[in-house]
Amino acid sequence: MIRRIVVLLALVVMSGALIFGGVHRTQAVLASESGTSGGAVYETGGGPATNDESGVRDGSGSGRHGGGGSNGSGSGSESYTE
Amino acid sequence: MREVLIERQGTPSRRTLVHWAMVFMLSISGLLTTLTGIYFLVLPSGGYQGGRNPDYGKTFLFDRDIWVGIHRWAGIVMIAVAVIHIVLHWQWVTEMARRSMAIARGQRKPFNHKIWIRLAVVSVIGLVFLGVAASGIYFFVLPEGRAAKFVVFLFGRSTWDLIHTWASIVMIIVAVIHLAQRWKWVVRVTQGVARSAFAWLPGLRRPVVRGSMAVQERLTEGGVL
Repeated sequence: MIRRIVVLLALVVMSGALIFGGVHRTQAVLASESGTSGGAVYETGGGPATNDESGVRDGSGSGRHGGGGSNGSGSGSESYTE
Repeated sequence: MREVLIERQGTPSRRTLVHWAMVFMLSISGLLTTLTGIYFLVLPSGGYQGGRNPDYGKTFLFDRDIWVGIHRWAGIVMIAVAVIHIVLHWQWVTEMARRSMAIARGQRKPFNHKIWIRLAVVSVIGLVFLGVAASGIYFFVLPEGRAAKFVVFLFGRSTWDLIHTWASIVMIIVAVIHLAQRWKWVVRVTQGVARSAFAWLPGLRRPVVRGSMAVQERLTEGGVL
């Protein structure tokens, strides 16, 4: 009986972890999909620079994938500081 | 007389050995594809993506290409072995289909709940296996690359990716349930195989299988039920 409960628990934990990973991957795939088809994708990215401090808030940027967005007009070289 | 025969044979039959070898190879290749698949769940994309991919350039143990290679080839082996596994059990598949139809028509007494659960598990595995195998072959034929991104075969690449991801997740979960259901058979036959493989060792020289014919038949059936 105890063995069955342990197996069931392990199965539930494993399923949960896999589903969590699946959701994570799905989000990445969908984000990548919208990135290649244009649109306001790059919320924080500022083009081919890095994904860190040089981003433009709500800007469209000019990333390698995807076209210009509709929510902003920043460029990759702009920066903001908190 | 039959009991004596069982006692003397002691080792699994050739048919059982073939089934066991299939299950063994399926388990090893399945484990490899699962472990490498988990890598792709944790680090979903290796591409650059214009600075919005925080996982870009991350590695774990090996380069991403090596993970892709292991996943691809272990997956191909798994598909091949799974097809052989299905072929070996084809008689069981057709028989269960025939009996299920007879039950549906009311010509036969229903299965007990254990058989129904096993039948459901095997059916789900079979269905999702089609999705995993088809999408896996798609990615094998059209590996990642700039040109492949724009090739559409029935669906876009992202749709194939999602089919592969979710069919694999369901298949892993249900395959673990299937293995748990058949665990006693796996343990019993593995012990028999180990005994016959290491029969030259003192202490393991004489394999002993006690029990009724029913037990022996379960040993040799190698089937799903």
